[in-house]
Amino acid sequence: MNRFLIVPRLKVHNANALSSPYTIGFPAMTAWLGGVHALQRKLNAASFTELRFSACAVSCHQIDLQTYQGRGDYVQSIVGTGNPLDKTGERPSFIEEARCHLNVTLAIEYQGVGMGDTDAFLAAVRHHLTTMKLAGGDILSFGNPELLKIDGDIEFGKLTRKLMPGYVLLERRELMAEAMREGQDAIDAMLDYLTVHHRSQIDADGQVMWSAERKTKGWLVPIATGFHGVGELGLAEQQRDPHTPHRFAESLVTLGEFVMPYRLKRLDDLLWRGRYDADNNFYLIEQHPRNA
Amino acid sequence: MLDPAIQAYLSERKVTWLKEKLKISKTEAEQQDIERTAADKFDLANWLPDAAKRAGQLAMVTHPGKFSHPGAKTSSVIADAERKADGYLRTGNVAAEFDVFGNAAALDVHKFLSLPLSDGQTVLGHLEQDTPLIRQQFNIPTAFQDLRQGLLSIKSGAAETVKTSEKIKQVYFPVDDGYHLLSVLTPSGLMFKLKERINVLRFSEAAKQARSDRRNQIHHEQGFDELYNLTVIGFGGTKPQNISVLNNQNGGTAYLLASLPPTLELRATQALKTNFFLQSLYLKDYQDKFKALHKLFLDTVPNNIDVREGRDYWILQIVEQVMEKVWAIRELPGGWSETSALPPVQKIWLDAANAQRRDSEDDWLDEIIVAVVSWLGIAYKKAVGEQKAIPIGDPESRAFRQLLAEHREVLR
Repeated sequence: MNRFLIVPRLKVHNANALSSPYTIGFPAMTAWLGGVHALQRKLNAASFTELRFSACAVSCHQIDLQTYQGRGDYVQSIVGTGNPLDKTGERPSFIEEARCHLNVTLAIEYQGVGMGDTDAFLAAVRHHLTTMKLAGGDILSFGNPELLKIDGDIEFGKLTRKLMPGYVLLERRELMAEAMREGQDAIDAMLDYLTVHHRSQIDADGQVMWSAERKTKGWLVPIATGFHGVGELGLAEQQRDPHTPHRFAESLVTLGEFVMPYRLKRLDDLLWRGRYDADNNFYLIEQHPRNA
Repeated sequence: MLDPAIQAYLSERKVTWLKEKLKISKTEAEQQDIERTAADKFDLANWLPDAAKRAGQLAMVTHPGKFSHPGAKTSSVIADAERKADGYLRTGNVAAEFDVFGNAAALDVHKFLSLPLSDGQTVLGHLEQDTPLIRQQFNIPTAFQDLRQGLLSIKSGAAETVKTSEKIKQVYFPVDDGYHLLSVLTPSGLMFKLKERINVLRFSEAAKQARSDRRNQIHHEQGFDELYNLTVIGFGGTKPQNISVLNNQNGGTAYLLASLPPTLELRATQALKTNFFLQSLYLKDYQDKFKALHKLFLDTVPNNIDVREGRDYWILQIVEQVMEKVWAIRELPGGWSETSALPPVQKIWLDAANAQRRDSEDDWLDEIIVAVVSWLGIAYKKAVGEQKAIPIGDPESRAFRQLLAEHREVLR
């Protein structure tokens, strides 16, 4: 049995759309799992001590990215807000911020809530969600949270129907890994899947035919799915708390595919989990590896 | 023999310096004096010890803090990671340049260290490996090891105390026995490498030529790749040099790739009166997709896996588009269908008031599958023309039925 907490139609205002130094749009998976973990901690502190949120899926019903494109512009620009003035009243040199408004449904796999506690549990979820931030944005509203118990992949449809209509992320790291095994570096491997390839052929009659195709079908996008430790673990001056081991890190970005949940057939294709890979210094939010 | 690259570097700097100094008309004696000074100043024996002294004012890094916030002062990070075909864009998986920040007046030293010598290796690379070639090049009165240490201090960041900043995003990540605290920095070398590659796609001569050939329907050997939905982000405003050297070289802007799902148009539409398929679906919205499907129906090997996958892909694309209308109608306040003449099963399917029933019952869904399959057949014929359309015989309509039975949840 798999148990899920469903938080339907959660509206988030001004979430962080700068998901990595290379991408803009849907907030990073690390931000969603981070929010879910923060909720777990609040509930742990509020008498649900055994509760664990082990995995999560985010179905995006709507996203409104705050960029603008001038007439005739090829590229968009970020709609920024002014940073606070510095001590001398000067405007600091400007670092742009990107934000988005979202409407999502969360499906959170949980363990450790007794059968008799479900009403109190749902009430606590409602209470704590109203006091939280998610992906850097404010939670404006959400539908009634509910609990759902399914018998693994057999009853998977009961779960996906709660997430419709919307789009969930399927990790497609294996596409990029394969291209890299064939010799492309990470940037070329990624761009090759994101671009439309215009090619021409001359047919038997000598006619020129131009075609436009992507490398593969499906709505592929670059996504931020974790962090890569690039410094040693240790203590640093000015770290947020002096007791937790600190290190410098960078975003890990790979390919993902936005699909409608009804297309998926297995829990492993829907759920994202966190894992620390000490050998590679990776802090990952990942799906069960497919063909990788 | 001084390496030609070093030679050229010094004379170039000398010329620039002289131009500046000789701008205002001077007496001949003064001019001669200035030229003598220049000759001294840009003689390797004098310039190098001075550069070695100034190198410490710069820091070579892979992950500068100022991209997070111009006021963030972090210790220098020089990251290195093994290359692996792991499917991640990260340090180690792309050859990228170092970034530099520090006193702008010392940036010439960084330029000098980046010079490739006759064997392709940079001055910095030679110094790090302490090669005989660089010892021979730096054969001046000042002790070589002093010069070397001075110049290498550009990379000494790793030795200082580790310092993050409250202006950097610091993230807790759960690990087995607690948490690690991660200060998330920008790998500017990677970020600008991405910009470079995108600019080749957009602006290279080859791409321009190929684009023009396509417009004129002329054959082009390589073709071109088009990237859509780019966003520009700026760092440092009017003073990109305050952020870093690479930022300044890139005019203070980088590209962001779009990471967005398809848009769902779920705005409530008008309530309908008699039949969803007749009143809510406009054939021209589906024309292109039916044509793509038609191409695959015409394929002589219909059981080929690519053909089958392509066929399924287009059918589901069409059905998802139909469902967008359904979902939009469901946004209407529930109960509207009671006064309509809709078939009962469509009332269940479309009216928000029946959400519970849709969730718990399945009979209506079987009926809807039949209705949608029938609409697909009719719409296909109309979209490609009665004459051209291949008769929707058993295999084709079975394909519709089977696929929708398998993906019935989309219709729920």
